[in-house]
Amino acid sequence: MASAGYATGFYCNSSNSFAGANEVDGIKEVSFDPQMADLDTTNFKDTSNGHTRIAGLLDCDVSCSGDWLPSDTPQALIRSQFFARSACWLKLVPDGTNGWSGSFLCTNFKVDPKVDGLNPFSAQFKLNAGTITVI
Amino acid sequence: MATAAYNTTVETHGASTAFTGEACSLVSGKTYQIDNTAKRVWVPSVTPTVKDNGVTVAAANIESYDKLFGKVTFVNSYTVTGPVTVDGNYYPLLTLAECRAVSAEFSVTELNTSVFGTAGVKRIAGLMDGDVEIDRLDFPDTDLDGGVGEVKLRALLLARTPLLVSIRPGGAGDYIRGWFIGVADNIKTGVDALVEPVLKLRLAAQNNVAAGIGS
Repeated sequence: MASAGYATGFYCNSSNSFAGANEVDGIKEVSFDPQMADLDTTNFKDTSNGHTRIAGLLDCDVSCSGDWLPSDTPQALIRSQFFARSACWLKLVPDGTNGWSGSFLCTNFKVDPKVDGLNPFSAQFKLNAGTITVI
Repeated sequence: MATAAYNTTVETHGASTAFTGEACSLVSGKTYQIDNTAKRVWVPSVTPTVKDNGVTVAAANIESYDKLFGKVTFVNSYTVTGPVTVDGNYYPLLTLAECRAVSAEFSVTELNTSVFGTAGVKRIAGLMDGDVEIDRLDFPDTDLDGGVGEVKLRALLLARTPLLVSIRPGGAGDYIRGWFIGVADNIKTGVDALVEPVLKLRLAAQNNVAAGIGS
């Protein structure tokens, strides 16, 4: 059954533990993109006429965007971990309950305020520790 | 709560100015910060003199400086007596007037450290880079320094002078600061339009001081 996006929860902490205080404020959009490397094992002896594959390394991209909130501890943690070159633990629960978590490296962040708008903030992350936990 | 952008401040650095005996307060752990908020951008090429209860602290007892936000961190084994004071040089900040948009984007190179036995990609962060773009209505030949000195962006760019850029989105909370060089100075205008200068800058660390966020 479809679920509305407003129930989504996006959390950030410096360790693998998430409570209400770790939910990132100000975020309006999140994308979570886990990918498995597909390794083609097709060979001449296959008779299926189709590719055969196995899954290789897991990778994952996460991006978030919304409003700059310097006083929000989890949001400020994203930026401080970026400059410290340290990992962020992220948790995304699209329906508020079920989702994924993992350790990620913030590889990019951007702020670009314009005089007639809000203060936008966006960040991008890449999988850091090799695993994603299903919640 | 989200804040409107119209109070955003964008600043650059003025002339290097010496200071002595400035008081510092504990931030956390072994890190102290200069109390005077106007003197928190320290000149990268100058090593501050830190004193603890009036006695100069040996370099071996200093772990690091944060010269973008006026901080000194002592090594773990050093016991602070207090009060902590600092002598050095700082840059006063000059407002870039008539800015209407600013974009600051930072990134790190991702270095793949995956090895056999790991089921997913592992990474560490490599070099940081940054790009800033500032849209203004003020022509870059305006003197930003109202005093005796003269700070004109166009002259600084043509002289290849590194610039400190300090951005405070919404005018409250953290500053994003870094050292940059100008790489483009585009002027767009039309017979029935405004003159719209756009400055583009790229990260250019000075004496190991690149960019950071803080207050």
